[in-house]
Formats: sequence, C-alpha cells, structure tokens
Amino acid sequence: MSFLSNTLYNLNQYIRERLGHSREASGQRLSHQQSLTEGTAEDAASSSSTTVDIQSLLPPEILLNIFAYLNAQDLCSCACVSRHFNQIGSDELLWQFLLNRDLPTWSRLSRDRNPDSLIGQVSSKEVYIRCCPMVRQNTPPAAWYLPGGLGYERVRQYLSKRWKRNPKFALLGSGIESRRTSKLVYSLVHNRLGQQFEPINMINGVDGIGSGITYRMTSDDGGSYVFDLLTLYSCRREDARGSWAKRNGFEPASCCSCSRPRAAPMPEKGIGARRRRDSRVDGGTRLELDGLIYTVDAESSPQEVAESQPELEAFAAALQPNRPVLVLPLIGRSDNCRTVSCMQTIQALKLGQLPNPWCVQASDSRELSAMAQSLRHCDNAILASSGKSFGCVCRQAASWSRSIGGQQRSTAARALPRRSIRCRQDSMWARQAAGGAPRSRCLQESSSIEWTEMPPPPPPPMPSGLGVVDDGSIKCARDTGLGSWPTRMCDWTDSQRLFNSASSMGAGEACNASAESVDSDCQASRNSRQTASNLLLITGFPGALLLKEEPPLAPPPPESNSFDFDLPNTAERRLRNISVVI
Amino acid sequence: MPGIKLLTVDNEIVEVDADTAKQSLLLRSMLHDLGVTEIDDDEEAISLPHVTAAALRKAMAWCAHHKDDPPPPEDDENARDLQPQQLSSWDAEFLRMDQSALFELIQAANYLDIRGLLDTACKAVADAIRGRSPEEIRKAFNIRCDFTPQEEEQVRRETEWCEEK
Repeated sequence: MSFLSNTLYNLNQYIRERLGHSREASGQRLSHQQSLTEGTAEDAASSSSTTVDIQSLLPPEILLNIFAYLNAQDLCSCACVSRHFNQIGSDELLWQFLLNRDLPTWSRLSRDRNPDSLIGQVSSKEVYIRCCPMVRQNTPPAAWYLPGGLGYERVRQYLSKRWKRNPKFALLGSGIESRRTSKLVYSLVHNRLGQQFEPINMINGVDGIGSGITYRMTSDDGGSYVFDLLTLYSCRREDARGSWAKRNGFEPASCCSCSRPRAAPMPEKGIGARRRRDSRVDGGTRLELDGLIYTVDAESSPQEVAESQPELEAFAAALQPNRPVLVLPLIGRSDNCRTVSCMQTIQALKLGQLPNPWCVQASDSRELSAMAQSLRHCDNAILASSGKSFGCVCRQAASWSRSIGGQQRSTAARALPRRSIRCRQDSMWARQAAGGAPRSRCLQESSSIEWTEMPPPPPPPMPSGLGVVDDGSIKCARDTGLGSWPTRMCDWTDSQRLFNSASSMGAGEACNASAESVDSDCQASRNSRQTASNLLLITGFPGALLLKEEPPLAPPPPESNSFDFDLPNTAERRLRNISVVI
Repeated sequence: MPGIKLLTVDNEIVEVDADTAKQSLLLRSMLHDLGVTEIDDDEEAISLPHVTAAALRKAMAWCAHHKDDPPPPEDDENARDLQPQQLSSWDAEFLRMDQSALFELIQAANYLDIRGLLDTACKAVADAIRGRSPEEIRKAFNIRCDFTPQEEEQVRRETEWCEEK
C-alpha cells in the first residue's frame, strides 16, 4: 500500500509538473535570483526582518494570478518596480485578459486609438496603452506646432481671430431619429443647466437648405468655441414612416390612423435643417462641412447600427478627407441599457475604412459633457489640418504679396490644391488684391461694408492665403454649404450684431422649433423661417458680401441707410429687408 | 471521520480531517486514486514537499471554514468578475499575517490546489499593491530595483500615462 501510494504520488507530481507548473524550474530560477539579490540587498533584508522578497518566494504563475486582480494602472506601476515584475507584468495573456474585460467599457475611441486595427499587430499591452481612453498622452502631436514656437493655443487664438468662419458640423444619423435617443437635439437647444452649449445665432440656408444654429461651447477652463451645427434628418416620407414605425413597433399602415398624426407622416418640408439626404449626396455636390457628427442608437443592436453604415460612408465621402467624423453611440435612459459598445460601433460602421479622422464617444442623449469633450477633439483635428497648412499659407502669402501679378503667382497657384474653401476665398481675395475691379459700393453703418458681386463660376487658380494681405485688411468667407453656389463674404461679427439686436423674437422660436426634432410641426417652423429670412442677410444672396475693417476709401454717403447699389434685383429686395431690421 | 496523516517539508506529521482535506484537489485525487476509504493507524503519512506545517494547518483551517461553500465555477475565464469582490471580513482577518507566512500559505494553496484559498490570498496581495507607486511597492515587498537608470527611464516613459490617471 505504501509503495503504491508513493508511486502514485510520484506520478501525480510528474503529471502536475508536465502540465506547465514547472515547479522545479521556477524554483531553480528563483533560488538563483535569491542568491543574486541576497548579496547586494543585504541592507534591505536586514532593515526589516518580517518582510521578505515577494519575487523569490512566489513563482511566476502565482505572481501572474495576483496581477490579474490589478488594473492597468497598477500594472504599469508594477512594471516600474523591477525587471522581474516588468517581465511578468507584460505578459501577453494577462493583457489580453485585461483588454477583453475593459474594452467594452471604454467610452471613447478614435482613429488614432483604434483597437480594431492594432489587435494582432502589436502586443496586447501596447494595444491597451495606445487605445485606452483613460490614457492621456502628455504631449500634443507635433503637427499642432508651427515653426517659430507658436504653440497650439496661440495658433488657435490667431486662427479664431483672423479666420472668422466658424467650423461647421452636421449632426445626423439614426441616433437623433430614434425615439429613445432623439432627445439629444432637444438637450442641445434647451441646455439651460450646464450652459455648455449656448445657441447664439441662427444660420439660414437657402430655402432651408444649409441652415442651422450657431453654438458657443464653453469649456471648464473658461475658453469658448463657436461652431455651426446643421441638424439633418432623413425626411423622405417613406423612409421616415418606415423607420418610425420600425422603431416603435408599428406597422406602417397603422401610422396614418394613429392617435398622433403629427408624428407619423413626416412633413416634406420642415424647418430649414431638414432636407433630402440622399439626393444631396448622390448629386455629387460636395458638402462643405468641417466635420460630421453621426449619431447611432446604442440601445439597439450592432446589426441595426450596421444598417447605417452606407449612409455614414456616403456622407464621409462627401467630406474632405482631413475633416473629422465624430460618432456618438447614444443612450437615452441609463448606463445599463447600453447594448452597443464603442468597439462594436467601430466594427458595425466599419470606421477603420474611413479616410477621415474619426472618434467614437459613448454619450448620453440627455447630457452633453461627453459630446463637448469629443467636439474639442474634433476641433483639434480641424486645427491640426488647418494649422498644418497654416504655416505654408503664411509663407505663400508672404512670397506672393511680394510679387503680386508676377510670374510667381501662377507657379504658386499650380503648387497648391484648389479644393478647399480656403482656396476659394483666397482666390476671390487674390483677384481683389490683384486689382481686378469689382463693382463695389459702400454702405455706411457703424462699420463700413463693401458689397461685391462675385461671378458664380469657380474662380481661376490663385495662390493660397488665409485672407491676410499686405494692406492688413482681413477678409473671410462664409460658405453656403452648397458647392454650386457662389461664395458669400461678410463680416460675421457685424451680421451677428445685427442679428442679436433684432433676433430676440425670431431665433428663439426657431431654435425651439428645430429642437422638437422629428415631429415638430410645420407651422412654427414656417413662421420662424420667414422671420429668420428677414433677419439674416446672407440668405440666398447670389452675390458676395465683402467687408473691410478699415475705413472706406470713398467718402461715406450722407444718408447711411440708403441703398444705391448696382445689384441684381433679387439681392436688392433682400437687402431692403435688412434695412427694415436695422 | 478518520484523519489522514500528511508529512510536511519540515518533517512534521499533521493529521487532518479527510473531508476537509478533500477541498484540496491534489489530496482528493490522491485519495481517490489510492482508493482509500479507511485509514489505518499504521498507514504511512503522505509526504508533501513545498508545504510547511504552519501553512498546512492554516490552509486546513481555511478549508474547514469554507467547507460548505458552493464549488467554484469551472470556467476560469468567466469566473473572475469585472470588479474583483472585496474579501469577506473573515477572510481578511484570517489573512492578517506577516508576509512570509502569507507567501508560504499561497504556495501551499497552489501546491495543494485549493482554488478558493489561492484566489483569496492572491486578492489580498493584490490589494496591498493596488494604488501604490513603484517605490512604495518596492518598499512593501522588499524588492530591489534592478533596473539600470536608462532602463528605468525607458520603462517609466512607456508607462508614464498610468501615473496621471
């Protein structure tokens, strides 16, 4: 019996050792380590008799077991402790376990932090560290810095001062059309508590197309960021009815007779922000947007989110490739009801294939702090692109201004891309500076406004510049959002002042109306649209409004409110509307 | 219930209750393989290398207390919760011992294959590490930093973000 027991015991031990415990090997290694450390760490050992070296006593597999109870941050602290800890704490399986555990809870991922593209390429630890949103790299990307030591903040200040066009975002997607999460738009406009987003202005598009609201976003550190937001709903009747019915569990037929007739049939024309999306994109017009905010309903399933993928792809294709796409998987109730994580959103929407920089931010449709954070992220992406070209713009402008009209102009023109808004405003501006005589008149109000009619066809190639010329005057362009329309120019602060002085009656209701989102009634929006079209001077004006900040060269006309321009009839009519407002 | 005799590494014979001992998967399979139903007094003790008498008594005390616990789930991956649970007060009190004894206990639990005790003890060690800086960890566990300054700088840079939260 005893012989048998010993044999069995030996066998048992043998099997256990073969099964990877490798007790003997680790014991040898540890005793070796111990002998190494004993000689050199005498003082440490003698100072405390109760503490013992954890490394020499515990085999690696137990250390691994202990580490598995720690989070990534503690593991990184452990990695700094010693070589042995670093080696064990970098174990692939350990970090895979952490990644599997934590990945669904990460609330923000972006193109630079896309686990989908990194998994399998680099170690799990690196994936974790490079993608985890709790990780904040200390140093901003070098692209934000200009030669000459201009820091990010200074570039930002400079750009916002000189380049008066607000970044323009479009807000769209199944998230704001789903019943569960459509409150986001409402939260945006009626954000009275946090005051993170303050609607300060209204942009009227052309017959409602391209209209939206200008928001001022205040950050915690007191900075503010002004941007335009266009809210786009799919408003094809069958689409809307189908999706509404689908999301609410009704058959399409029952919608027409349901007790809330407003909700079921979607108005063909609503407040300006609505439009036919598909025709817009299919028509080949370039959306002149600075970014896309695409919402999905995170309380649905990944399969439903995946249905939105073609739409997002089409819109992103209409963007310039360096413009950011912000994806918001929205929830409407509590955190527990999130069924689609950020990672699943990335996979469902195939974000890895987008050429644009993108960012996924899990957020709640009832509060906006997450959106505010990620918008700042988008702003950085815009600045990174515009800031990067900014240096070259400055240099080009300098060299160009030295040789206006010379040979350099055409060579510089060939070297620069012509696609962007900037180029368009530049060329317009270059023509102006090069002495092409625009028909111009002066309107004397508190500041001087110079009206210039611009011809609609796309301008000839011209050197780039941000609107800074040798005479120091600043010009800026506002884009219509429609590729085929001519660019209009105006001093935005002035029109904003105009707007503010007279808008207390119109804009508020307009905002409210748009916030009612999908089933807002047409009447209010029609009213507000009429009011607003009387208010804003850029509406559908097929010419250009150009402003110089310095006193006009011509002496001001005696009567300040007179309009004696040589302008097309339609434009004049609209301008007369403005004079009423003034 | 009959007791079984175990010979520890420090040549001490410890008699433990067979039912309690069966929480150790190692002892259980040994007893099963041997077909032991009754233990004679003249039975030779089973020798257990790597286990000290003190650790064995501690481990058996833990097993006796957790005798009626539900068996741990089989699947290792899913067994671990998203947020590791707090130790029960009894466990916390039980594990209040100096580090060398705790490490001996962990080794004994590992060798004897007592899953619950091993996890509990590892959790206790993890709690001691959690939230501490590298220097504090070194001090707590008497670890000597064997990085060269360059290596330490490199490792610190790689994990820099972790320090700021």
